Amino acid sequence: MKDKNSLNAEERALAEMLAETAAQVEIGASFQNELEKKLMNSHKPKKGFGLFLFGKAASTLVSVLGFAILALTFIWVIRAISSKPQPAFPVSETPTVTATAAKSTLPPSTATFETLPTFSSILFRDDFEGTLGNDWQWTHENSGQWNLTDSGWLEIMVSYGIINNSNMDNLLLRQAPTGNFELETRLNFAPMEAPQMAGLLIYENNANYVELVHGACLTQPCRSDAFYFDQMTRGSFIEENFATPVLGTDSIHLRLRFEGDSFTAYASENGMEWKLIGIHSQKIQPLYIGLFAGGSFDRSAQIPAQFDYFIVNALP
Amino acid sequence: MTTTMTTHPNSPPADEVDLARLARKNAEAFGELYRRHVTRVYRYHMAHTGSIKDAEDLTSQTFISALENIGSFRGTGSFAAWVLGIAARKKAMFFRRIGTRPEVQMEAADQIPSPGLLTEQLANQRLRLDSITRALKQISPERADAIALCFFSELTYAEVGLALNKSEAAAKMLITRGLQDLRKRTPLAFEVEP
Repeated sequence: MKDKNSLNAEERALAEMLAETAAQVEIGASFQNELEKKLMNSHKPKKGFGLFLFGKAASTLVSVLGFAILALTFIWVIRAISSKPQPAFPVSETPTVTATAAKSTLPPSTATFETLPTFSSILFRDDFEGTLGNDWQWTHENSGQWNLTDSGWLEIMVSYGIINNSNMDNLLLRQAPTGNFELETRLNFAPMEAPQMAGLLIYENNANYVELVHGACLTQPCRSDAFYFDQMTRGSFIEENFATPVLGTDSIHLRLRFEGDSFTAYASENGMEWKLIGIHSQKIQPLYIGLFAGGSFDRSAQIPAQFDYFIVNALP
Repeated sequence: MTTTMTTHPNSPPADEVDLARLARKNAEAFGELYRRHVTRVYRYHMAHTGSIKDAEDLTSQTFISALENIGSFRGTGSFAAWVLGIAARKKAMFFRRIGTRPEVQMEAADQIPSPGLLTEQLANQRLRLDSITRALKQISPERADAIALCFFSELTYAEVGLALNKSEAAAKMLITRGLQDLRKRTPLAFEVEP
């Protein structure tokens, strides 16, 4: 910020937030290039009168030569000169074909299939059959936007807002166990638009958490419909989000491990073979664990995220 | 198209006076000015409209008008202040035409292209920009303009003054009072910790 030293602390904090937000607003490259081309074309110097006369003279000369050499075309030339030609039928502009879809890039090199043993020390399991298990706590509960289905799924409607802004409804949390642990769920979710997301959460506070989600996102390094593994530390996201294409079905298994100071994310189609999504290793204090569905900008969207079960395993 | 000129983001105004003079006849010179300033113009319009479509339309109008009137740039102030002055007039005409300052269109905000941002970071940015656009609508248009020019277009107080036909002191006053309004009269204060 230039010459803003006269502001008091509160005003400066606000000014910095404005400048920081502004710096993140990027102009679309295609729009910028198209406008530049348009301006360049508009700037082209117009033909001078001399050039116009020269063009007319050249045209006449060609006509005269054509008249002398090709007698058969003489009448046609005379007719063409004497009457302004009219198109036989209206000419419509050919529509321009533009590429509307960009191919996504290849998955990150860390995405490889591997079979992982599931540690059998189950600390907690909730199959969402009829009632919620003990010791769950809702954060920002919106009771009209979640329910337990007859077929045994916890269904949370995707909420407006995001965790970092403290404006996401229906975070279902419970206290994290001590020591190393592993979370697992089966999620049935089809995000409709960016950045709707649903998945597992390891939470210290709004500025420090880890989330493994199935979500939609439109801009790089995101993929349109993919797994994302984000870590927020001290209010900022770690660079890598490990965007990995979904496995070809809306129903997937997610697994999130906490070991030492590392968080490791996996996904699976069948709950047997697991695909490594990525590893985050910034230290946070896992106080709560749970499930959530949010990030929607459409407040009226009724997109369900369905969780079949939630398991907490102890890890050595 | 071969670009023969290089970009100098911190060039003194004198450089731009020459460029602007050259730009009357040379498309590439105008292109250089455009590339230097298009982002600040776009951000200014985004701050006020919150809509990509409207911001792009207004940015186009601003530069087309700048091209048509490049001969009137005398170099008494920076090119940035001059082109943002055009942007401010285009924005004012836009809101006069539609009658009011519209609500932010979240569908459009949803597509703000910001390469490099992560999933939630992207969402956070959209919500924050949405909050700012709404807050700017709650304070006087003149103060909102000064705030947008200062923080979104990165103009100095003096340049804000030139863009709004005010003195530097008046521009500074508009910005300071605008910040006070945003802090006291809008929910924007909750988004920052001093």
